[in-house]
Amino acid sequence: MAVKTKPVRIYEGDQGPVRLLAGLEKRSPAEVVHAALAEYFQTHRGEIAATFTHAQEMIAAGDLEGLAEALTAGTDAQVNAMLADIEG
Amino acid sequence: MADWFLRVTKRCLVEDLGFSPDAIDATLSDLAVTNDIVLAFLDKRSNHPEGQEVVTGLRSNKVVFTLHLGEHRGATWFQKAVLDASGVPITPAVVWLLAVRFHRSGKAEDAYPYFRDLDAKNRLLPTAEDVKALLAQSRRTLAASLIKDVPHLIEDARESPGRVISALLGDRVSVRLVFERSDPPMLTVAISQNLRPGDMAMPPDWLLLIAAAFLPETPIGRLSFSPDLGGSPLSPDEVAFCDFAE
Repeated sequence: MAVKTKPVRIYEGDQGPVRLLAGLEKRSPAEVVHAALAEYFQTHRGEIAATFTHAQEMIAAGDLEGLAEALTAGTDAQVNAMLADIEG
Repeated sequence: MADWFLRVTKRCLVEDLGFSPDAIDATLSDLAVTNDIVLAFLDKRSNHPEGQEVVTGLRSNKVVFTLHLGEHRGATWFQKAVLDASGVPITPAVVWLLAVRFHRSGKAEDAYPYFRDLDAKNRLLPTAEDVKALLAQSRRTLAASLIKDVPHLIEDARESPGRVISALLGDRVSVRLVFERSDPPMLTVAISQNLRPGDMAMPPDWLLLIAAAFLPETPIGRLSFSPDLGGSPLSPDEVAFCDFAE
């Protein structure tokens, strides 16, 4: 059965390397991107696992403050953008 | 739900409405229970972020609208979402209640001179503390929803196998989930990456935190992406995770 695919935009400069690897490995560009993604996940498995497992622990413990703190990603940029808008 | 937050500035809460400074951490719904002016602000600006009558004579370059609240007048400002260079929202939109005062036309203590005086003293618009409190409260509301609401959603899904259940977590994150009575049974949750209100992109960490709430027993090695939701296609903004649910 054919695997479903979806279009993904990549940087123009990455098109050459993807084609090169596809040719060398005798794979399709989609297979090269798929394999690269799998390797990326493997490389970053530790940090992904740490975030996911820590979240599970906080949820199990009902740690409201801990979870709220874990959701602070991107907050500084939002605060700065909103303040610049207020002062602008 | 409106496509914007509604919020009262701390100065307005304390000086105009008589709340304690701690009220900055309360939800607007909680404040509305004890204050008719906040309730009226909530009712009116939930449907229309802007009014019809502008407060004139302000030095700041903001378009501030009046809000008629019985014998009181309020001043509200619709702070639209800030966009990045690509036109993508990077902040939520907010309607701020900036000030409230009894309306005594022609009198020195009337609401409109009061609004202009606050503006001249740079005390009318929201402060950094107001903005930080808004975002902190939003995070707390979402965190509370992950702890309290998600277990009920999972239970509902288990009780109705095959039915897609939709929810909005903490007024911010749209999710859909389905429990399939296959062998073994499977729970799939699709998480929208467009944050409400508006269409802000979700920070990547949030996706894992929300997935963890729906799959609390799943070891990371068994966490799987799903290409669909119980056989139905995902929306372009959704990412779906699944695991066995025995």
